Amino acid sequence: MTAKVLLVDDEVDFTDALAARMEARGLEVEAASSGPKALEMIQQRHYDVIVLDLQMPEMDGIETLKRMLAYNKDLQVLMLTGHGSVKQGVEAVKNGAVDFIEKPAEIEELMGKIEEAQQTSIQLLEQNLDKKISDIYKKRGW
Amino acid sequence: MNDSNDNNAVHEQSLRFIGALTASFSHELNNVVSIVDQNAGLLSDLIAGARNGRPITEERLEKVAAAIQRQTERGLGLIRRINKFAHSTDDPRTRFDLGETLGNLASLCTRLCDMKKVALVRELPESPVTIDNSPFLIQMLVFRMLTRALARVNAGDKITLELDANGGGPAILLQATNGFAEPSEEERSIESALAKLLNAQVESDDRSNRILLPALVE
Repeated sequence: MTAKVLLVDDEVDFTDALAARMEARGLEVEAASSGPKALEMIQQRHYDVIVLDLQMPEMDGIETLKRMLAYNKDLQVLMLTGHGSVKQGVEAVKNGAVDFIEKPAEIEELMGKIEEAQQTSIQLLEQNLDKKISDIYKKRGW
Repeated sequence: MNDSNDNNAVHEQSLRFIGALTASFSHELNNVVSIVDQNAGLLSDLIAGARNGRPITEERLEKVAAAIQRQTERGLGLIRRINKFAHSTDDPRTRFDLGETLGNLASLCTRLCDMKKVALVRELPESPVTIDNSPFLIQMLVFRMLTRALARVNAGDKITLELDANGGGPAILLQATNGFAEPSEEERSIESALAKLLNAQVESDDRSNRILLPALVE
């Protein structure tokens, strides 16, 4: 199953190149250049994984992460941090990110983390679907 | 505070100032390197694809080359600016162009302002404004005031950095749409210690900070 990934970073030259590399590896990628834009996009379609830059103007990565998870707690968000920003990466994980990766991101490492996050996303979707079906059964007394 | 305490406090704050600027610089340079790295990776991917029969388009190559060129220029600009800043510590007192020094500091602070969606407008004279003073301490004082302005800004605000060399001594004026955060007692005493070291006068009101520096004596 093709993973749908939302890449969020204000550096357009970065998202263009990384998106092309991810697509060449079989992912379906869309990009957003700001936190508010990304928040709009997650309300319009489902993304299996969101790759989110920590340092962005206007709304930083942590604030964007919090708002994303407030909208849907099951979203799988991977944070991109600056080099040597382990502390900030840990803070992002404490705030609900599934993991973090330091820039410059090594593509195969990133792909591995995306694959793991996608598996979790699929499991959560299946669990939610099972719960919905079971609720329908209960409601109808089956 | 006595002079010895003042000097210790200024020394400590100098290190913080250098730390704040270099942290911002290194973060931006890391972004530049990351972009070049991804584009180099993309070129490798394209070559690998071509070996497997997927032709590389001229348009794709041009796009990658343009991105690398843009980022190389951005990186070189950053390096030039931080190098100029680093050399401002060479001499405790020297003859230098204040307009150029403030312009360089403003460029180094652009990212900090961008992160808050604030425009840092420079109104600096084109002709040199030569003074004999400490370029490092002047930048430190301006940066502290800028930091206090950034603590109060809203997205879309404007901060203006102006240099007026028409009076006796040159005057640096920093104005912010939303004013400046009130300095703590410690901040106030460091700013006045800096002013003393620079032989400068500082005038402040709600929306502006003015640093009056001594004119060059030939």
